Amino acid sequence: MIEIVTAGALTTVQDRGRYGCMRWGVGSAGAMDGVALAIGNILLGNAEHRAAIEVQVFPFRVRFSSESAFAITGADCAAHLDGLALMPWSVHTARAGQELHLGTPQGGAVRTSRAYVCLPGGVDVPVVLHSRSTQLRGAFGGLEGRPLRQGDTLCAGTASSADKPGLLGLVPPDVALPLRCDGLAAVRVLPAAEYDKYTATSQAAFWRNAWKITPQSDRYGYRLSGDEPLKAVAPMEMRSHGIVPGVIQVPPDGQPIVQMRDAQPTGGYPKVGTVIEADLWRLGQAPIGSRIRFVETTWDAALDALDELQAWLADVGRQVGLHRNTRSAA
Amino acid sequence: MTARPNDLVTQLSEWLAGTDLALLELSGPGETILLRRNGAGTEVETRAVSVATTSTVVRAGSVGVVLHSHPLRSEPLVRVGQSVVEGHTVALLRIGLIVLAVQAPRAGTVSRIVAAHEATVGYGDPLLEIE
Repeated sequence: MIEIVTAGALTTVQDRGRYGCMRWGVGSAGAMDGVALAIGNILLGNAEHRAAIEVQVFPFRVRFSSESAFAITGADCAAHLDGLALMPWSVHTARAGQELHLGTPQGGAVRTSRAYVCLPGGVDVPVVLHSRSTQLRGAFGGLEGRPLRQGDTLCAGTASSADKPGLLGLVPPDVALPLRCDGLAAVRVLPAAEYDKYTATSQAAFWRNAWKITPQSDRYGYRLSGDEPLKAVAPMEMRSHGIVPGVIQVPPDGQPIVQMRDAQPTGGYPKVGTVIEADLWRLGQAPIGSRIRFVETTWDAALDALDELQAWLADVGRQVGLHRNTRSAA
Repeated sequence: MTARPNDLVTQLSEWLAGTDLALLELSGPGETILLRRNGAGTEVETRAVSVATTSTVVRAGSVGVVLHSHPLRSEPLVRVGQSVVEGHTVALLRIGLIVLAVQAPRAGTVSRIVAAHEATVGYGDPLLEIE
């Protein structure tokens, strides 16, 4: 069991998301950096659907009430366990009474913003509509449908492996699978339904310019700001229609909004593009104030990118499994 | 390996006597043992290697590539002269996608960094020394 000692705003329990409920108006929620969550689960030998704590406002402190392994992934937060510096993207063991401290994200070729604290067997909160993810809009899922706060206690689920996870880490995904454009973090984007209704100048500006993530950005969506607002050839009036995380809408001011994990499932703004599923984790790590670039891609390339990401995760799983077997044989 | 492995030396001496090898040299931390075949018997000579008795050699626990800084960070994990506590991560070993932390076996001061950044090392190779 762990106890939250200090939690900033909007620290939540998240798993990979709640799927199959959009017909009831329930969005997916889930980890903003799904790759960091997946790796935390792999490092601990957990099943891939296990939940973790997503931290996006620092500092964050938890106390372990009993000895437990844990993994920290995502943003490099200068993690310390009772003053001992811990490596990011790795598994550690805490003794009863020890405190884990996460500080402000640092380091890396591109800035990052969200860290994940994973436990063997995952964070045990009730499953609601097939998921443990906190759905803030509907106030359900996670721990009582709300962000974590000081004094909350969380239990770990039943670990799937009897072996103790070894002390091991991983080459971070941003190092193994980097994607940059002119030195900025980049994401690949498919032109969406209303792309052709924007002027040629705006279409070019969309791909050429850097887009700043404004302070009005959160788990619901990122409001971007660029030097050249996007202009439609003619004003558009649209009925609300289904949207998913990754969809880039353009409100009348021409400054795009990217839908993120807590996005509502419908919207009425025109859509200029969609960030491909394989790159949503990169966007999930982009901090407020940072700038990103959009790189045009195709449907086939988007599917290849997803295959590449899944193959990499499978390789990580294989190598971690080999390492664990070698250790238990030693 | 602090106690001299006398049993091992005796066994090796017996085996050496049955070969046509002239000399067997065993190098370990702190000393070198020379076994010379001398007729039917074996002559044993021990040479102390000049290593400060207070220093601890931190060795690779696996084959891998040595990293002196984490892939996300530019600053080194430790510098010569830096004091470390037991459990402090003093180096990393990269094996494929896996990164293993090499921890200080005891508190002390880093006196020497032996293996270079991104050098490939084998099991037991010295990485750095702590005094």
